[in-house]
Amino acid sequence: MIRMANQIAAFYEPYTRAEALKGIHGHIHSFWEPRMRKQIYDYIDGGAEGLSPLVTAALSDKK
Amino acid sequence: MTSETQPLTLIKEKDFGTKAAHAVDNRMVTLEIDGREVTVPDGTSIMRAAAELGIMVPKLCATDSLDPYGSCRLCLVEIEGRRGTPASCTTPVAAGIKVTTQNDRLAKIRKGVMELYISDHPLDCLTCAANGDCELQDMAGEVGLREVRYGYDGANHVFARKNGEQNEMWQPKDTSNPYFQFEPAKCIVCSRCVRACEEVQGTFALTIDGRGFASHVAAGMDEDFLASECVSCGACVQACPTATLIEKSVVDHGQPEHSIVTTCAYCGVGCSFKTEMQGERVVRMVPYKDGGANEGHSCVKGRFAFGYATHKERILSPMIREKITDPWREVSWDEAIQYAADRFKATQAKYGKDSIGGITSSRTTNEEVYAVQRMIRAAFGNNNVDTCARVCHSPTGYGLKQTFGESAGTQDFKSVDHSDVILVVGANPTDAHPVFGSRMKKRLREGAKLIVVDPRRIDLVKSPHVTADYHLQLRPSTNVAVLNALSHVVVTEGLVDRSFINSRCDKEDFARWEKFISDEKHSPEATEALTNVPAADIRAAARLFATGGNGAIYYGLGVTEHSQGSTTVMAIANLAMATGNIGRDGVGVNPLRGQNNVQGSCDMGSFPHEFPGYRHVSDEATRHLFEKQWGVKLSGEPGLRIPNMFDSASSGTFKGLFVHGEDIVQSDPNTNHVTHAMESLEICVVQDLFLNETAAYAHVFLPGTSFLEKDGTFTNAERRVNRVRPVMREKQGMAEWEIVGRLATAMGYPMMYTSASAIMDEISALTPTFQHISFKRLDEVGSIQWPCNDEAPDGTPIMHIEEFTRGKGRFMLTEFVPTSERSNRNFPLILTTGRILSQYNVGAQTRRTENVVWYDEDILEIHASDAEMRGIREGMMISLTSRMGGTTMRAKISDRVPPGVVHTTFHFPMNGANVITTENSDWATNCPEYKVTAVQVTPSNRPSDWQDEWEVRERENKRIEKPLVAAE
Repeated sequence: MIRMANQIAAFYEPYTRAEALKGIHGHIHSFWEPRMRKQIYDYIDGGAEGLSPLVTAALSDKK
Repeated sequence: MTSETQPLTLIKEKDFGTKAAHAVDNRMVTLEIDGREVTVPDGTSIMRAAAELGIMVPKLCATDSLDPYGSCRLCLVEIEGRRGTPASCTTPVAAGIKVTTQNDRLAKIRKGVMELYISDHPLDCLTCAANGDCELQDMAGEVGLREVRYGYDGANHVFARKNGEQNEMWQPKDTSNPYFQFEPAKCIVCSRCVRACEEVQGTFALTIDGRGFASHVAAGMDEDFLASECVSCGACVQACPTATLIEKSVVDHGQPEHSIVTTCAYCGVGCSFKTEMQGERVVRMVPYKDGGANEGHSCVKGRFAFGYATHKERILSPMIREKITDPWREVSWDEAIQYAADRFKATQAKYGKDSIGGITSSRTTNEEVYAVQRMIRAAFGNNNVDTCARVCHSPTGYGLKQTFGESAGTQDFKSVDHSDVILVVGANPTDAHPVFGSRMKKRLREGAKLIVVDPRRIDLVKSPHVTADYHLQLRPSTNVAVLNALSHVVVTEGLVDRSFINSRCDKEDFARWEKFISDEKHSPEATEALTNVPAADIRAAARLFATGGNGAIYYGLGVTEHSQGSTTVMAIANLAMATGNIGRDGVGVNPLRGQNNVQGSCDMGSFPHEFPGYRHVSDEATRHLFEKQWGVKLSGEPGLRIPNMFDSASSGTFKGLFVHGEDIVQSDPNTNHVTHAMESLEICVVQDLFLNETAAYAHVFLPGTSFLEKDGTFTNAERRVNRVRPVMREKQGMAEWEIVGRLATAMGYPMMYTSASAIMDEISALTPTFQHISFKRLDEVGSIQWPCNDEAPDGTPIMHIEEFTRGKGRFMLTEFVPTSERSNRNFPLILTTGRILSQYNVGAQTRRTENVVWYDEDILEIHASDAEMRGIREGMMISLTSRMGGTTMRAKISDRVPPGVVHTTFHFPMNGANVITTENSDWATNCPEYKVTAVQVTPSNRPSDWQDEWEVRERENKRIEKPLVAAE
C-alpha cells in the first residue's frame, strides 16, 4: 500500500505542488476502496514512515 | 436458445472473382456486357463487372479474396473490336466497350480447357469429400463437359502406379496438419493456395515447385505441412477450389447443411465466422467475408480450435462441496444456486456487506458481464466487481481517458490500410492478434514503414517481405524513457504538428509538456545507457514517425503490464497528438486487446469504480439512473480491485468471491500469494467450462456455456459490437445470464431477465454510447462500432475526428520512474512473458484441442551467451527462480531475446510461469508488472517444490465423487 501510494506521488512529481496534491487526493479517493483509504489514513496518523511527503500532504484532510 | 423465426440456410457468399476496385477520384466507367449496360468503378475487372450484373463468367484460378492471376484460361471473353479472347479476370473495364461472355467460340475453348484439367484429375466425385462444394465440378457442369478424350494412360498426377511401375509424378496425401489434409492428386495447380498464403496471410509458406507438367504445390522446402512454416490459418483451405486442401472434419462428416454467423471467442480481433453445421454438430468454422473485423480471414485458433467446446473434461453438472479438500458432489441447479446464495449471505452476515465480491469474464458476452456486475452491485450491495482487464489493459482505459476522454482505441482495423508509418510498441500481432497481424503485414508489403519497440525480436521485425526499419530493442521496463526520447526529438527538432496542437489540444497543457519533454534528461543520448537503445536509432525513428505521412501506433500488453503502464499509455497519446496523428484514417492510438470481449467487459461496468459506460460510481446522476432501473440503493464508493481483493482476503476482511470465466490462480501474478488468498476465502463460486486452477479452491462450481451455445454480443478492440449466435442448445441446460439472475434472486434480489436481447435493451437505455444498439439493429447491419447514439446513429469507426471526446486533447507529464524490480547478482536476468500463436492465454481452451501439436508446454527462450555461461543446452530442463518462487521448464536457445533477457509463455498450469512473477503493479490501476521479473536460470533435474504441490492439488482438489450405485 505504501509502495502504491508512493508510485502515485512519483507520477505527480513533475506537476506543480497544488496540482500534485489535488491529483493524488483525487486518485486515491476515486480508485481506492474505503478500507484501503482508512488504512492509509491510519498509517499517516501512525507516523507515515516511508510514505512520500506529497502523499501525506495530499491526505492531510483526514477524510 | 433463441426462438428464431427465420428458417436456417447454408450461407454462400457471392464470389465476384476479383476484388472491388477503388478508383481514383471515384471515377466510374460504363460498358456493355452481353447487351446490358453496367457502370462500375474504374479499374474493376470485366469479370467483376459481369458479376455485378449477375453474369457469372466461368473461372477456376480467380476468387475475390486474391489478386487476379489469369492462369486457368476459363474466364475468356470477347471484346468487340479487340483481337483474341482476353481473360476477364485480368482485363479491366473501359468506357464503351462491348463484351460477350458466351458464344460458340468461347464455349468450345472453355470445354477444351476443362477437358485438359479433368484429364489429370480423378473421377471419384461421388466419394470425394468436396462433393457438393467443388468449383472444378461446378465448372465441368457449366461448360458441359461430357467426355475426356485423352485417357489416363499418359503422364499424370492421379495414380500411384503407372503401367505397373511407381508413378514418380504422384504424391501421397499429406495428413500431418491436425485440421486439414493436402491431397496433391486432386490439385489443378491454380495457385490459389499459394497466393492466399502470400496475399492474405503473408506467411509465404507455399510455393509452386517444378515447371510445366511437373509443377506442383509445395509447403516449405517441399516438406509436409506440419514441418513447414505454415501457421495453419486456413486461408489456403478457404481458397482451394477442389478437394486438394480440405478440412478433415468435412472428410469425416461430409458437407454441412446450414450455417449461422457468429463471433470467435479467442482474441480481441473478434473475427466473424460462419459456423457450418449438420444438425447440432459443428462441421467447420469458415471466416465470414462480411465480417467487419476480419473480412474473410482467420487464424488457427478461431478457424480450427473449437473442439474444446465438446471436450470430455467439460463439466455439465453443477457441483458443491463444503471444504476445498472434499470431493465435488454433483447436485441440481436449484441446490447449487441456493447453496451458493446461503453461503454468500452467511459470509456477509458474519463479516459485513463488503466482505464479498466478484470477477466478471472477458470471454463471456456483454449481456453476461452486465448481469454479473448488476448482481454484485445490486444483490451483493457493494462495488467489489473487477475483471481480468485489470491484469491486461486497465492502464489503457485510464491513460486514454485522461488524454483523449474515452477508454478505447481510436481506429477501426481497416484504418491500417492507410498508414504510412506503423509504430508497434510491446505487441506481437502475428502471434497474439494474427488476423490483424496479417492485415498489417499486407500494408507493410505495400511499402509502409515499420518501427518496432520491443525487447524481443518478434516476427514482424524480420519475416518474409517484411522488415522493420527500426527495431528499438529496449531493456524491459524502460518504455517510458524510450517514448519520452521519441517525443523529445519531435519537439526539439521542430517536428511538432503546430496546427493540430493549436486547433485540437489544450494549449496550456501542451506548453507545459513541451517544456517538460524538451529537458535534456529526456534526450535519446541521455537515456541510452538506461534503455540500451542507440540514440541515433531513436532520432531516426522519431523523424520517420513525425514526417513519414500517416503515423499509427499499435500497442499491447508490453506497454500496459508495467509499474508505469498508465504512464506509457499517456506517453503514447502525447506522441500521437504532438505529431497530429489522431482523428482520421491511417493514424491513431490502437490498443490490441487480449481477449475477445475485454473491451466489452470494461464497457459493461466491470470496474469497481465505474458503472457501464465508464461513469464513476460517485456520480450521483448516473447512480440514480441505475438505482431507478434496478430498484435498489447503490454504493457510491469504489470497490476492491482484483489485487486488493487478494490482499484483503489474506488480511481477513474479504471472504467470498464469485469468479466468472477467468482462471485467476493460473493467470494472476505471484501464484503463492493468490493461492494463500484463495485458501482464506469462506466461499468461492466458480462459473466456468472446466475445473480450472481456480476451481481447485472453490466450493461451488456452476457449469458455463461455450460461445457456440451463447446468445449475445462481443465487443472487439475496435469497439465493434458483434453478434454471438447460438448454434446449439446449452450443453448444461441454462444460459449463463440466467444462472447469474437466479443466484441474485436466491440472495433476495429478484433479477430475472427474459432474454439476452432484453439485457442489451437495458444496456442501451442506460448507456449513452450504446443508445442505438440492439440485437435487431445488429442483425440488420452486421456490426456497430460504439459510440452509436443520436450524434453517430451508424456508429463510430474512427473517434475524435472533429474534437476529442473530452473536448481538447490533454498532454500529460510522463516522468520516467524506474521499477523497483531490479536484477542483481542472485537474480541477474530479466524475465518477460508473452503468448504464442497456437495457444491462448491460460490455455483452458487451446490445450484441449489439437493445437498442442505446435506447442505443448511452456518453453524458456534464453540467449546463447546466457545459456553457455550456465551450461544450458537446447531442450534441457532448467530451474527458473525469482524472489517470489521457482518452477522448471525446458530451455530453447534463441537469438530473439538479447543477452540478459529471458522469455516464456503462461499457457500451461504445470509450468507455473506466474509462480515467478511479482506483485509489482501499475501505479494508477494496479495492473501487474508481468513483463519484468528478475530471475535466475540454472540446469535442473527435478520439478520444483511448487510443481510437486501442484501435482497433489491437481489430483486431490479436483476429485468428483461418483454417485453411489445400489448393490445387486
